Amino acid sequence: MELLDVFYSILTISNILFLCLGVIGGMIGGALPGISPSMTIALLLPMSLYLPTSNAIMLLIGAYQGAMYGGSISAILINTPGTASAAATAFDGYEMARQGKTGKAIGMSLAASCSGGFIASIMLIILAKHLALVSLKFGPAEYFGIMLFALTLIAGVCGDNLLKGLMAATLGLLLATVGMDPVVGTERLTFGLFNLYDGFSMLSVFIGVFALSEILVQLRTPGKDLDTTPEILDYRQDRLTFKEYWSQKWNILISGIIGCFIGILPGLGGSTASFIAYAEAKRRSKTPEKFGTGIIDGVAAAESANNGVCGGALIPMLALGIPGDVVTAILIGAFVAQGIKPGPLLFTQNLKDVYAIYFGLILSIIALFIIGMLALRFIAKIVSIKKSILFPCVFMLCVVGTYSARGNLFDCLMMILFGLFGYFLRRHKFQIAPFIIAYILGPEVELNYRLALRISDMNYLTFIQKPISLFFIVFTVLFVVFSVFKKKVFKQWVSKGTN
Amino acid sequence: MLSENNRDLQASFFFLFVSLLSFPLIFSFIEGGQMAEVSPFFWPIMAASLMLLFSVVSLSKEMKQGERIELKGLVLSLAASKKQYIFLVLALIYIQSMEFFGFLLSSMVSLPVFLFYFGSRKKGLNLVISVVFVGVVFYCFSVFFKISFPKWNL
Repeated sequence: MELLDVFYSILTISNILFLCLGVIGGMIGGALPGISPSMTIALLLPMSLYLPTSNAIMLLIGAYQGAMYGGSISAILINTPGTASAAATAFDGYEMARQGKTGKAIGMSLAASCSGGFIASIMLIILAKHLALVSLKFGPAEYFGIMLFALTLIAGVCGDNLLKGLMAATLGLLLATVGMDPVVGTERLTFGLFNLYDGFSMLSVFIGVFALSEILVQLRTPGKDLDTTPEILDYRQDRLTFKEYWSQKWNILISGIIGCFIGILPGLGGSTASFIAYAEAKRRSKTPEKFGTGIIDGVAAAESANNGVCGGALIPMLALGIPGDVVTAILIGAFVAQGIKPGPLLFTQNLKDVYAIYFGLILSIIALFIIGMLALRFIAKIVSIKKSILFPCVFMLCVVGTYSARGNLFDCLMMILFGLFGYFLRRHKFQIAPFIIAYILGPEVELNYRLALRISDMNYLTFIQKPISLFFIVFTVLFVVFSVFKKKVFKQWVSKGTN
Repeated sequence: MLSENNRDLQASFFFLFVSLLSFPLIFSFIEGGQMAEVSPFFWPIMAASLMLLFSVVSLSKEMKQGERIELKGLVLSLAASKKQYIFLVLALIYIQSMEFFGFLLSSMVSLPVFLFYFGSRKKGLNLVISVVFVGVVFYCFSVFFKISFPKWNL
């Protein structure tokens, strides 16, 4: 009965209005490079303080879901991930847009985001307390195990030439070390430049390697061809069909669960979840070689996982009062200001507010779906703009987005450098993915490795003594051995067939 | 133009060069060194060593297949990317100019140049797009997202 009372109290016009406002604001914030989900929530926070509790919850949760989806819009349309978690979406999403399947790509991104968010919401509602206890069992050694497994997935995205992928990945690992040492706080490879104390801005790397390199590649096209209106499929032909969505049901389910699980672990975030889900989907696929060429499987996996993180990150936040990421850290502040104190007592003292958050999550997914579907036709039209106009505007947006992150023109200069590097990689037929994955995951692997050793007083056996860490390390080794064995068997089979 | 395999050779040389350059830079520009396994040196040295290993393996593989550096091909390939380099120089000038002329003026002057460079020949349309697009971006980011853009500094 209490549940129903809360549900009916949530379903008011003002709540629905603020929910829609949050979703729209989140989508716009997520789509704009430089405006992260955390910044979007932070900007809405002052408004939420003057609102009644239920309105504030609807606004912020709507913005969270909207922002996680919004990053995929720019990733698909202009190969510029609006958020770090949308980087994996760009691999297949942008290729689909280039093939004239923009509507399908954005449609699948929306459907997968909503589905992944819904899966995580159900897991949150049913398992919040139990899953929160799991997150407490993860220490540096366990984090190292899971991140090492994630790093080995680089091998899966290297394409045909593993060596090239590994060279790019090691450069990503090296460049990620620039800045302050995460354990002892000394300078590393900053060359005395104050602007490098925090390392390279992640947006400089993403926008440079993805978007700017694409612009440079497009410059190989003669100006006359860039100035023609591109032919795009009729909207009706370019729509995602239910059959296509349903064909991805297991992919979406597994990726959503991965996203939720990763979201439970504080500090990992949407980008880790989307890369792990992408690589896992590729591993399970019957046609793994098609990943990266523009298939809906890649988009579905990445987007389901990154919206799955939303529900997952709320689990430790609500049950333990521990923020899973920057966004939930801001949400804790917002909830405390509204008189909701996240933590173990929340489920006994403020159960109605907990139910309100649950319903808010589910309603935000419905709102995201409806608003996303309405906006889809207009979003997809962006690719019908002439490239001679689109690319300069995109470049300007890239500069503004990169500048917005830290208010620093130095980051824009670094974006140019990474753009040149990305162009070099593409000209020499390297995959961008290994570099990006290593750049994002490398610092986490290093930090947890070093912390685990320090905590255990330099005992290397700590990684095998802890069962969760041992499990992931063994799984990693088996995965690598199996991948190499599978490739050898496949090559032998192909050569037999050719003979 | 470079052949496919020669491109791989060029790339391997690039990574070999970067990895060899990394070692003196790591030892010069990283502070702190006690407890080798957990010192700030460990991870950069590991990354640079792996990069060296993979680039040497890749180079030896290419050279075993008989590939050699084609200097003429390299020069022609660099010349083929002339358009890209010019764009990057224009981009650098644009970003640097923001420090002195501010975002609005630099962008409204640079965007028509970029539009023309990308092939849009309608000058009137280019000017309108520059003013409207830059204005909208400036308004949205400065009012809604409270971003403080570079201002006129002369």
